[in-house]
Amino acid sequence: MKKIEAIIKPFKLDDVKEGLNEIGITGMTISEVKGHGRQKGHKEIYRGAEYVVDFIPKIKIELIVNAEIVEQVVEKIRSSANTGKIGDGKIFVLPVEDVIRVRTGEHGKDAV
Amino acid sequence: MQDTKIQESHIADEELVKFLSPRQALAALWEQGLSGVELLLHHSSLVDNFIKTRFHDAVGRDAKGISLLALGGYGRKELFPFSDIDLLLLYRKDSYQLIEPVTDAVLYPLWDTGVEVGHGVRTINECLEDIKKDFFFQVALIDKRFICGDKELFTNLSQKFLASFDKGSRKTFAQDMMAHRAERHSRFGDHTYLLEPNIKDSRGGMRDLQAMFWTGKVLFGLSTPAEFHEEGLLNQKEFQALEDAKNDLFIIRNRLHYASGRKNDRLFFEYQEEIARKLRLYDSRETLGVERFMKKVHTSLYTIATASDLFFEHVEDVINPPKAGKPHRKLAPGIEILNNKIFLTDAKLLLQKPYLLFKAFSLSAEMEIPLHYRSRRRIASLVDRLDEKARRSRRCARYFLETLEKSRTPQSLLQMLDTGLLCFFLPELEHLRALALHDIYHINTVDRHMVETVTCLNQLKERNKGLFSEIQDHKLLFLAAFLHDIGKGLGGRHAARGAEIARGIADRLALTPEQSDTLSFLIENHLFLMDNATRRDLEDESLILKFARHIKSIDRLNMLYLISVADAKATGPNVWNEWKEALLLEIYHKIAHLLQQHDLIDPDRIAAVEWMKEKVSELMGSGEMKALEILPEDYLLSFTPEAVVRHLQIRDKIQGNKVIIIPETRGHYWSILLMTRDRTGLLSKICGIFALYNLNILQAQIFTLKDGTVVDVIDAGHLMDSGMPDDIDWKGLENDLEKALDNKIGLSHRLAAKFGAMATQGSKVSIRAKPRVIIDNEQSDFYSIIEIYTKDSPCLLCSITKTLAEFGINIYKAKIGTSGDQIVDVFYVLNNLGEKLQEEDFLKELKDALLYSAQSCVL
Repeated sequence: MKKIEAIIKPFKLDDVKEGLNEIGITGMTISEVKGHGRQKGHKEIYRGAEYVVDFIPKIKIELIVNAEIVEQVVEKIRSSANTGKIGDGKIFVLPVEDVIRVRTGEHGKDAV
Repeated sequence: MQDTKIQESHIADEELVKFLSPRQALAALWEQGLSGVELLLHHSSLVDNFIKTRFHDAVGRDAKGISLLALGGYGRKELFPFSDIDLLLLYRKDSYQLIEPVTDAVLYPLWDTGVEVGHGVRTINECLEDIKKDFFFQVALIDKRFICGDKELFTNLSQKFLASFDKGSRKTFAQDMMAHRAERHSRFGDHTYLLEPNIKDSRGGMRDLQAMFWTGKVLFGLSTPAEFHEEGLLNQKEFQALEDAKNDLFIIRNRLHYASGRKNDRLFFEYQEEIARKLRLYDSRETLGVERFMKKVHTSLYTIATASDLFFEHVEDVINPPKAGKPHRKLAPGIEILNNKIFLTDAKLLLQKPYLLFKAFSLSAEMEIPLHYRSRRRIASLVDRLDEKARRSRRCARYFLETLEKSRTPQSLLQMLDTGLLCFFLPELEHLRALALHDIYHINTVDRHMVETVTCLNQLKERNKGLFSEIQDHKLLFLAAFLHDIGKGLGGRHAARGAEIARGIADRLALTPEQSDTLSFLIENHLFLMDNATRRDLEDESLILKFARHIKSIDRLNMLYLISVADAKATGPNVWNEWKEALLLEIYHKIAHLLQQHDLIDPDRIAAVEWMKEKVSELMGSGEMKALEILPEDYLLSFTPEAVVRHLQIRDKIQGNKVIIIPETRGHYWSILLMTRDRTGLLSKICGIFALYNLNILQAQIFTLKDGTVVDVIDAGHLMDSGMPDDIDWKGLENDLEKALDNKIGLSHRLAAKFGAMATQGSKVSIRAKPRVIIDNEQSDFYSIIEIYTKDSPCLLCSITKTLAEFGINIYKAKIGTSGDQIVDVFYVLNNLGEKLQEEDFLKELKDALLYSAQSCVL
């Protein structure tokens, strides 16, 4: 089993969810995160007051999948989230030791 | 001893069975509909009988000097399914030896059943001592009830207990009670308890009711709600409401105990849903069953909260009476202020001039001083006698709007809500009372959320002085903030529903048609900014333009922004954060920026674009609507509909590096349509090939469609300027351009070979007027704009575009032309990462390079 973490642009969330649904994946965890990278933040001056936002809002998606479908899932996320412009994000694949379902206590693949 | 123990446990087993099965029978009876109060009485009787039987078996019916008393909830005969049983074993010193038989007979079996039994063993004197040390014991004794044993002993205790309350200790008792109540409210008051209330300890829960009656008993000698009513502490309406609320909570608590299988008073979400189902509250078109259930819960909680608030304010007045002779200040006819409370002194006047009611709240909000509880009760009883005239009164409207504007804290508006005045004035609010929507984000019921939004809006003034000072109509802003969710709970989309409902309200409040329009717009669009900021691509210029045209004015944008922030803050603690703020600021600034460019919002321009789209789709026939989406506005406004259709037809033929060139002779120059697919360095190669073919670009409009198709219209004349132009080998040009795009032609050496001599001439050119290069990052949020002003020269454009290509800069739009004898080139660009050109160093380098290439031929 692997854990997939994807950092994407906020407005791409619906596209990614739809894309994952298409290949049968519906369970994932979503969080609002602050990105720091090559993309520059915002600095605006309005009526003399300066608004500085020094991060870029991003969405992080986390999901656990069986190793056999990792490539398929990663590609689906990548193509759904892609705009071709800077800031599209990154996808990480991490190893997972075990997965346990709280309700039943099931381990491993059964719990994914 | 051993034997007796075994014998006793043997007996306990039988008793256990005997005891449990009636309880199970009780549960069965409840399932069949035995109601709240009856169930509790029945349960108490059950336990009473068990205890009496065991007691009489142990020490006989005539035992003296020992009694069993019920305390607390059991004493009140409010024994819930899994409640504790609180017993007091009262004894006289000379009957000490009876204690053990009683405890053996009664307590052990009770413990064996798994019931929580609290017990104390005390003499009368010990009780009197302990009530001085332990407030909670003192309170538990208030509810004492004789179960069995020596009645005289019990009566003795009662008399002495009553006598223990002298004036001083009564006052202390009340103060302790109020302090405990306040502490309990704060402990059980945070947002998680608003979502999943604890119906015993949360504000308005059963504890508040009990606190009221304990205090009433000690302070005023009142035992039952009926006595409260008789004494005038509750009028008929209030009394009935309180009884209903109590019964509702009892029913719910029974169900909750059974659903949880233990003594649990917290309405967790799963239990909410389960109990709603059991109470047959099903989903309807407008609301969920669980929402209807929670509305009952919150209504009961609010009723008890309000009643106990009023009661304790009265208690406060009794134990700390205001100093006589203190001056009271008159604020308006019938409205006075005394001891930091606002009083309404003349009921008759209030009915004649109902606007005074609203004025009182307005003053209350402004001065942050609450209305006195008697005045609030008075208003509550008056509300039924107000009529439609008051609803339409301009003065009522005026003071109502003032109250909104001045509410920095929720108190005044909540008091207006609790007295019923607000729902009278705006009947549209009625269905939102105590309505909790079933999600984890909205921690307040809708009525309270509306009030919180107004106060959050007020609190934004500090940080957003600029925005507030720009807004024309503050009253409208606050009214919209207040009414934004008025369409909730009616099924369908609440924003649109709310906008409709607002029309009626606007009419009653005598707003102008323009104000009414704006009010409806703000309500209908109160989620517009937040939704689009988080779900749409804010780097899409045409999208932001669409938004700007929807909002139409910076005034409306400012109001929408402030309402969005206030709404989010008032929804719950996790809804508004820096993350959302960043996106909201981005969309706000981008839209504001476009709204400042009046030509873009100009209705004539919008009409022209629409006309173009219509015409183009007419000419193309149906089924081609998708194609229109890729056409930028600037492009549409630059061509005839026929030309656009032609471009779209040509577009289908361009694949890979294919280039299509269609020249038209225009006397001494050509107008050339060039279409291909976009890539970096395209324009540079076009200029280079044109130069090789002796074409001098006089003017050009460069467009890139959203799908990457390039549409260039280039006016070119003969490079050598020798009168009539020769025939140009257009096919050859097309092929060579394709080769160049395939990187198969070395433009540099070819151009150097052709124009080598001219290159040196270039240096003379530089002596004349200096070129200007301006890189503008302010004007557009979507592109960097590079403007170049310089004298014309043969390879100028090649030079400039080659430099741009060198820096990996992509050109999306360009206007190349002349102004007098000056060349004016404007390029809308982004770097190779698709972002605006930002870095200081990069900009300097680019500017230097462009200046150089504008002066000399860079090939």
